[in-house]
Amino acid sequence: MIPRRSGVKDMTRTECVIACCMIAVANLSLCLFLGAHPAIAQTATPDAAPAVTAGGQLPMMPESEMTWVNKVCKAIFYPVLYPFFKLVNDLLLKIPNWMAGFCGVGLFVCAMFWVAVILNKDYVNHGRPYKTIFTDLRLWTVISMTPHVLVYFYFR
Amino acid sequence: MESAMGLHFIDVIIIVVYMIGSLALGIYCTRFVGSAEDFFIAGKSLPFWAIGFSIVTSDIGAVDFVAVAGAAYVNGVSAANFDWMGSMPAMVIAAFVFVPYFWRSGVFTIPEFLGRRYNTAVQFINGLIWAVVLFFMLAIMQWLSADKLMHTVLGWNPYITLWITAGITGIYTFSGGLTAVVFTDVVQLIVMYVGGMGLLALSLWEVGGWSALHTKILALGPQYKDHFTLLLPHNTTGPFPWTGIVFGLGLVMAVAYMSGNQVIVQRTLGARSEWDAKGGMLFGGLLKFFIPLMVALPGLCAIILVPNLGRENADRAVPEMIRLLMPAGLRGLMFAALFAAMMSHISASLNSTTTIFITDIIGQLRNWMGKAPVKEKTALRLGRIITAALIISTALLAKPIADREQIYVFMQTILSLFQGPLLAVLLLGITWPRATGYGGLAGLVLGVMCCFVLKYTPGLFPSEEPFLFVAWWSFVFAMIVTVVVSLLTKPESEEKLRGLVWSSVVRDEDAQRALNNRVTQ
Repeated sequence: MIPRRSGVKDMTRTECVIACCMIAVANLSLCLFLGAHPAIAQTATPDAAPAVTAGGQLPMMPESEMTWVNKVCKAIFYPVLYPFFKLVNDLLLKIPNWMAGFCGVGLFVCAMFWVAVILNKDYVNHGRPYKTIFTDLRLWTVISMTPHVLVYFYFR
Repeated sequence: MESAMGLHFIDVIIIVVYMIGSLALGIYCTRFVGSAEDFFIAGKSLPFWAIGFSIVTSDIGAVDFVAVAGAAYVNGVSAANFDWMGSMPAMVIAAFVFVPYFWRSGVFTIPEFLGRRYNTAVQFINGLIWAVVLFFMLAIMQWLSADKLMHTVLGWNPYITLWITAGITGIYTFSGGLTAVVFTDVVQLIVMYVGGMGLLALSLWEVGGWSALHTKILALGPQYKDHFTLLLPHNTTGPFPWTGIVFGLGLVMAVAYMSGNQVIVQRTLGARSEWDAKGGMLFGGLLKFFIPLMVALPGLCAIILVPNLGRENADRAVPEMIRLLMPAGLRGLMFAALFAAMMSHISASLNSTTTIFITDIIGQLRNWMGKAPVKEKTALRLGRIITAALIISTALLAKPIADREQIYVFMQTILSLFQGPLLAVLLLGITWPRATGYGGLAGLVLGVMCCFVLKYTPGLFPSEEPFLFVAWWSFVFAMIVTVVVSLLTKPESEEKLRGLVWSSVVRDEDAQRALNNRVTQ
C-alpha cells in the first residue's frame, strides 16, 4: 500500500483537467503579453526564397559532386521515387507557414493532454513513493512541457 | 600570471581540481559494485533526480557546445530544435510508452528486450548496429572535443587532452560502472550549468541585451531574417525545415533516440522504481529546456561579437567567445564545464557500449554456439575488460575516424540511417500483438536499406541535408514492411507476449502480476 502524507489528498481526473486548463490560460496570457510587449514584439518575416526552381523541379546535386554511390542510386531509384516525392513536396508547399507553429505547439499540447487526461492515473503514477499532488507525474508532465510551448510560441 | 598554455594559473587549478574530484567520486562508487547488475544498471537503485541529471549530461557533449552554437551561428535559433522539439515530446512518449516495459522486464539493454519480443536475430542486429554506432561516435567525440575545442582555444596538444580525458573517464567507468557514471554526471551537470549560464550572461551583456541582439542581427541583412524563427518554411534550403523538424525529428528521430538509445534508456533501467524511471525522464526533459539557452544563444551572440568566422569556421564560435569574454577564474570554470560535458558523454557511451557487447553480442554468440550464459562474476570481469579495451581502442582510432566533414550534421545523418526503422520495430513490438519475429527482422533490414537509398539518391527533397526527411520516410516504410510481413507469418503465442505488449500490461492484471514476479525473480 502506498503511504499517504496526512492532510494532502491526491488529484482526481477532474482536478487534473482544471489544473491543465488553468495552466493553459496562464500560458496563453503570458504569450499574448510577450507578443504585445513593444520591446520584444517580433515583426513578420517573409517566406524564405523557394528552393524549388521555376520549373517546379526539386534541386539536383551537381554531377561533379556526386559520388559513385549517388550516381548508381540516381540511375536506379530516382525515376521510381521522384514522382512520389514530387507529389508530396508539392502538397507540403501548399501548407501555409502559420501551420508550422500550430503543428509544433500542437505536438506539445497533445502530449500533455494524452498524459494528463487520457492515460490511466494509476498507470501514470505506478510505483510512486507517496500519494500526493507533488508526486503526480501528470502535473510534472504539464510543468515540464510548459516552457517549451512558450518558446515555440515566442520564436514563431 | 598567465601560463604558457594561455590560461591563468587559477584556471588550471580549477580544471585540475575538477578532474581529480570527478575521478575520486567515480572511484568511491566502486564500493557499490559487487555484481554485473550493479555494474550495468546500478543495482536498480537510482533515484529520479539522478536519472534526470544523468540523461541530460549523457546526451550533451562538449561537441554540442561547439556544434550547436556553430549551427545557430549559420542557421539561427532553429538549431535549438534538437533540444526542444527533439527532446521533450519524445521523453514524454518514452516515459509512458517504452520505459515501463523496459524497466518491468528487467532487461539490461533494448536489444535484449527486442530479442524477447521478436527473436535473437533482431536482438543481434540491433545490438550490432548500436555497438558500431556508439563505437564510432565515441571515437569521434573524443577527437573532436580534444582538437576542435581544446586545441583551438588553449593550444593544447589534442593527443594529450584526448588521453587525459580518456584515462580519467575510463578509470572511473571501469571501477564503478553505471553508478559512478550517474553520480559523476550529477556533479558535471551542475558545473556545466554554472559555466554555460555564465557564458550566456556575459554574451548577452556584451551584445547589449536580448532586444539589441535581435535588432543587430536582423540589421545585418536578409540572410539573417530567419535567425529568430524556430520553424522554418518547408522549402528552405537549410537542413531544418519545419516539416522535417516536426515529423522527422519530433515524431521519429527524437522518439527513437530517447526510447531506443541504450545510452539514454540505461539510466531508467537502473531506477529504483517504475515511478523513478518515468519521473527521471520527465525531470531530464525539464532540465534539457535550459541547454539551448546555454549553447544556441551564445552562437547567436557570436554573429555580432565574432563576425568574421564565416560558415566554414562557425564551430569556432564558442571557443572564440570564451577567449574574448571570460576573465581568469571564470574561464577555468567554463573549461571545467566543457571537460564535464566531454567526460560525461564519453563515460555514458562507454558504459552502454560495454553493456551491449556483453549482453547482445557476446551473449547471443554464446547462445547460438550452444554455450551456457555468462556467469555473474564473469560478466562483471568481462564488462571491466571490455570497458578498458573500448576506451583504449577508441582513443587510438579517434583521429582517423574523426576526419570527416561538418560535425553535427554528420552524426545526425548516421543516426538517421538507423533510427527510423529501429523505432518502427520497437513501436510495433510494444503496441501491436500481431507483430511477429519475421516482421520485425524484415522491417529492420529493409528499413535500413530504404534509409540508404533515400539518403544517397539525389534530387528527392528540397533540403540540402535531408536527414530529417530520410528518418521520417524510412520509419513509414519500415512500419509498412513490418505490418505486411507480420500478417503473412504465424502470430506469436500469447504466453510469449505476456507482459511485453501494451494491452497485456495495461489491462491484464494477471500479466502485471506475472511481470512483477519476473522482475523480482
